[in-house]
Amino acid sequence: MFLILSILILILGRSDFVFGQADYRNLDPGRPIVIEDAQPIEFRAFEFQLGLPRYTRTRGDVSLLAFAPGLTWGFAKDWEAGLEGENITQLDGTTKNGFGDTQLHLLYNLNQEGELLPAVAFRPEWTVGTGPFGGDYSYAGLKGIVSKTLGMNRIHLNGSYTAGPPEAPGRAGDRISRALYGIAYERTFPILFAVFLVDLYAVRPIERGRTELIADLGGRVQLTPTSVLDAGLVRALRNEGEVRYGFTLGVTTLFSFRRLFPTGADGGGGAE
Amino acid sequence: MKWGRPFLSLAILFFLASAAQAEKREAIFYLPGEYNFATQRVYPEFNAMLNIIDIGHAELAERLIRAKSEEEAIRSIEEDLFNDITGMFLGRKRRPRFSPAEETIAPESTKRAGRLNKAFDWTHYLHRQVYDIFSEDRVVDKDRAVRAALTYYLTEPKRTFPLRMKSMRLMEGQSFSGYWREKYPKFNGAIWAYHWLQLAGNEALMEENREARRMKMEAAVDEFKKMFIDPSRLPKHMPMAHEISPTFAKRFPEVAATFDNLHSFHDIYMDILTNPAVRDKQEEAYRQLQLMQAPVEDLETMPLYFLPPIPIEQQQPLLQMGPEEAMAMMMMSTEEQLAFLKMSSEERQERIKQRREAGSHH
Repeated sequence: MFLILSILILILGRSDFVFGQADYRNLDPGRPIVIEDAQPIEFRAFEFQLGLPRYTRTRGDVSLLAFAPGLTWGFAKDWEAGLEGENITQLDGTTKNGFGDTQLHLLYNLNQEGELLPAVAFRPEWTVGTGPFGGDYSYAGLKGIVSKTLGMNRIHLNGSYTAGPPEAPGRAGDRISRALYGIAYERTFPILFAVFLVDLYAVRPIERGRTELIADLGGRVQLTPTSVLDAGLVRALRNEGEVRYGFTLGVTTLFSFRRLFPTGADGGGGAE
Repeated sequence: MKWGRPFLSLAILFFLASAAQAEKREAIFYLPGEYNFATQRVYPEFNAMLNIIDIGHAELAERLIRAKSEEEAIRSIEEDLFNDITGMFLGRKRRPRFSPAEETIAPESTKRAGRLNKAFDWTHYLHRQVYDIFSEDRVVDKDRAVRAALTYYLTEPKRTFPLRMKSMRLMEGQSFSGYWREKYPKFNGAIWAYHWLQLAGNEALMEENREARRMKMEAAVDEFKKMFIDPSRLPKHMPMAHEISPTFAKRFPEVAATFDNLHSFHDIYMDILTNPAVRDKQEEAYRQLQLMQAPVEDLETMPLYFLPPIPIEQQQPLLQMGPEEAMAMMMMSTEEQLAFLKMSSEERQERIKQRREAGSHH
């Protein structure tokens, strides 16, 4: 899948591939917290998340190190489509490596936030197992997202439900859950181009396990005009008898292709 | 309990219907080019000023909206905000590292008048692109690059300012006009200084020789900083392209008119936000935006003869003219303007009086 993505970028890119200013406030699941905001990326922009690890450790001496690259495209105004996957290394005395689930998502933002009305978005998702660490079935889910800004503070609410058969224990990755609902708080530091983030969410596993309660803490900071670094800590407050914790680190970059932009008959403007 | 679920369903439906009918956000990527971020690389201090100007513009609207009284707003803007941005311009306070988005700095202002913020942001992108195009030596055909940027700008008609100069009456002659300038004279001067720097940058970038261009850019930034060290140097009228960036305005008249219209609309919006006689700020702001965006109505009829380029260090006499003097100059030929500039303040007032009398005889 990622080979295909790379080829796609190479074909589309050629000479008119140009980086743009990244948005340190645009939250995507896992970068670094699970709860996301209601705003899609800009129309005609592409966002690439570099595959940096989401490291999770369990008490039973099983460690999982997941690389989760993703590509998102603002294909229409207020819409985005994205493809995310994960490559997992499991350390439990022996080392196993393979792909997990691959997820395709759409996100549609209904409105600009008003003085009373929050920003609202929907995110349909389709997830399919694409390797030994992925699920056995494909799943369709729908997430509702609400974001409200109060000065330099933002609150995000997420709720999702996924349809599909239950998985055998241990088969499904982090991307699939039967239901997820949670809240996040975000504090913006506009001069620093940074945000502080904390979330709390409940997640009902797809394999009929007990609902888990998880908290994330993290931040995003714009390093250069075109790249954003994020880092976060994960702590499972309640799960199946294990205390799970982890960290995540990621880089997001924004770019686009000149040929996607209407610039008139001569189309001038690039370096010549 | 029996009615709980239907009631909740109805509430959710109502909420979603409201959201679906509300204003759309529709964030759009600016036109990518290999010149992107060239200003930051080639003229970092000028670029830093632009970033602070973005903060200053956005923060101003935000404070006006959030202030609980006029006294609080005046103190917060004329003292606190002016000192904050002055500290940033002069390097005494932490500066923004990149170009900030208006909705990040001014979330409440964006909620109040989102349509306006989109038009401001979209036109600011064009501003930045013109700087980037002229800062990047690899762009050989600058005119073609600017034309492409302008073509892309025009693909969003709801966010654009017209390509022909709109009448100054929209800024000066409405029932709410002049309130902002009267109550917030110092920060109004700061806004006009922002606009002056943007125009002075356009003019400096027209210089073909790289070293001479660099020196002109530095002179513009130095003069801009002097205005904040000594606020008596802040402009006393809204600087316009035909006087501050005549070379640029002759070469790109449509882009120059767009920037002039944007700058005068900033003043219109400030009058709307500050004048207590304007009750429904959003409605009036949107009405004024519609008037401004109308392509053929309320066009400027004054001749707007270009001044010859005036060296930056010699522009103070021009910048210290009041709005009435500047408006009078808009009626004059280039030769008359140059003579007018050399006159004392008393002589200028006499000249304006004579012209007014001559006009009333006609």
